[in-house]
Amino acid sequence: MHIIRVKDLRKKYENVEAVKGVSFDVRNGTFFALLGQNGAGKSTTIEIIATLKSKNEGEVIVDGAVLGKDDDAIRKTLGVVFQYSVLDKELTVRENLAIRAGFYNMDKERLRTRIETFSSLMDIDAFIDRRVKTLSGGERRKADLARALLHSPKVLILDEPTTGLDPKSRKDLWELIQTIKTETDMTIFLTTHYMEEVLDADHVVILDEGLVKAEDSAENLRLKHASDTLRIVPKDARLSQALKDEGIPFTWKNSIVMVPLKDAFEGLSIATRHKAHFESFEIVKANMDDVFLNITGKELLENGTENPR
Amino acid sequence: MVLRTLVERHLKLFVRDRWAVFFSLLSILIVLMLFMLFLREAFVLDADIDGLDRLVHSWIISGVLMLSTVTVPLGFLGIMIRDIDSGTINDFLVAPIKRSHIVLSYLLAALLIGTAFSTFNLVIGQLYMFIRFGFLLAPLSWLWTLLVIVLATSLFASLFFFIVTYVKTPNAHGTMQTLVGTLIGFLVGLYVPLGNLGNVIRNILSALPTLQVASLFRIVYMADPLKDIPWKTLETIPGVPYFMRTRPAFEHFMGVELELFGQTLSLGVLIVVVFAWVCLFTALSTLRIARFKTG
Repeated sequence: MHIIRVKDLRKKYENVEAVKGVSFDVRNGTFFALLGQNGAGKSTTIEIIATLKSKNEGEVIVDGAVLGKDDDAIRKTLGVVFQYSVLDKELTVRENLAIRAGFYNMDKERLRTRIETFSSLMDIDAFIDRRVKTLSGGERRKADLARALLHSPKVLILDEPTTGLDPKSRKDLWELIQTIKTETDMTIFLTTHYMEEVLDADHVVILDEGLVKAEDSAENLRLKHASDTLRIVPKDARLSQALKDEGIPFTWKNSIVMVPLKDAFEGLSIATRHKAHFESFEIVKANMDDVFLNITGKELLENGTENPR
Repeated sequence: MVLRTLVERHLKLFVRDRWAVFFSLLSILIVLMLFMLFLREAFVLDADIDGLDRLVHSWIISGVLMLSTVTVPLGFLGIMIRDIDSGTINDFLVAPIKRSHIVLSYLLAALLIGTAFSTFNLVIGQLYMFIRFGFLLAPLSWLWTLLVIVLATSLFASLFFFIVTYVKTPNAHGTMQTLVGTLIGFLVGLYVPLGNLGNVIRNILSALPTLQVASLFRIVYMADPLKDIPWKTLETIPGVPYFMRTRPAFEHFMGVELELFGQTLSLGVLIVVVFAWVCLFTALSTLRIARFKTG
């Protein structure tokens, strides 16, 4: 059962086509990730789904509601955590939540119950009566998450939610999202440029230059598009000659010999045979960075910008 | 319900922002200072004329009331600009709220806050007049002044709302606020009385809603003090400036009574004209609301 269906979605800004016919489905209750660098079309896609932007072509259906025909139904289905905090900084977290509760016609009792839920889930009672401008980045993100979850949406959209957070706040928020994922049947729709954030995703769509370049589970993508690597620091030129003699493909990276492997045992075998020619070696497991690099030909940097190969 | 929630939110944010409130009232403070330092001197006569000081104070207070109907809505609309600039408005747009209600909430809140601040100024002004001169407006004049406050705030809230929909950044809004705050005293003949200006400038200013609204305020707020001046006595005192010799001369000089293309604009005509301005800018704002779409 799909809760979101996107078909041939296109969006053009003046002369730039940001989304060029994107299609994907999101299954109900799953953790879905849209991965890509800045400018890949992630945010535009998410903004169209969230009814923030109009589409030029294509079809979007959210929980049976068709975008452009029944947008209010779509809005009730979604809870959105933006890249930046959208809370009113001069107001307390409680005041912010009360205002947002008004948008969904929630009465005071329901609001109180929801705040109790959030208190046990993410400790917001520690700062609920403080003005947002006095909160730390991590607390602010938690408050933003509470705001998005207030009306118990079926789908939680997280648009690069950890951007700009310090490592600890990032880890805390990520654990919180994992808890929400395990404790509820909510669908989680994440956009990110952080590879490690998609590792647990049930389905990953890799977007590049407005197009879907690959999609599958994170594990399948890793298996299909990346391999473990044997990294060897050679003593001298005899190592490369020996590898050539055996017909083992390899590349050089910063004076290190990189040998793509079928599995870790193959790496151990090569290292054992050529131990006389190197100073040290390691076997590096394939990760999502390799997947992204192999699919798009670009390295994804920490800030979401690309580094073409 | 949602519209009310949004309006309450906007009002709460504005009141919590002390600087926004301060800058909205800045031009009023400037006028009061100018009055204390310079303007008041112009009306000091050798002879002791009953009610003259009260009349001049009424003129200043009516001007202050007018200014607050201009600067407070404009200052308030900065919240809309900040919401758009910071992306907070996206939070409203992803909620099941009609686009028109979101935009309308800013217009309504601007109207409410402008009316509230101007009414507060009216009360403070009355307290001052009572303490200093033992004078209070007649109940009917109160009602008239309140009506003019609502009419004026409706006009300036809709006018600035329409303009602000084209303003993209808080900086641009800040610049606009500074410009309006500086110019408004001239536009309504507060820094320099209208009689000191040339005919052409006077005709141009009289055609603008700002001076028309100022005139409305002066007519209703100064009605009683104007009646109490012994104009016949003033005519006979040597050295009294020409604009203080007769009531029509005073009203003309001080911008109580306006003339446009040789025609005097009576209270009734002014109300109709200002109401027409309200209709025009509300219609233009409604058009902007209807066109309010995203990307």
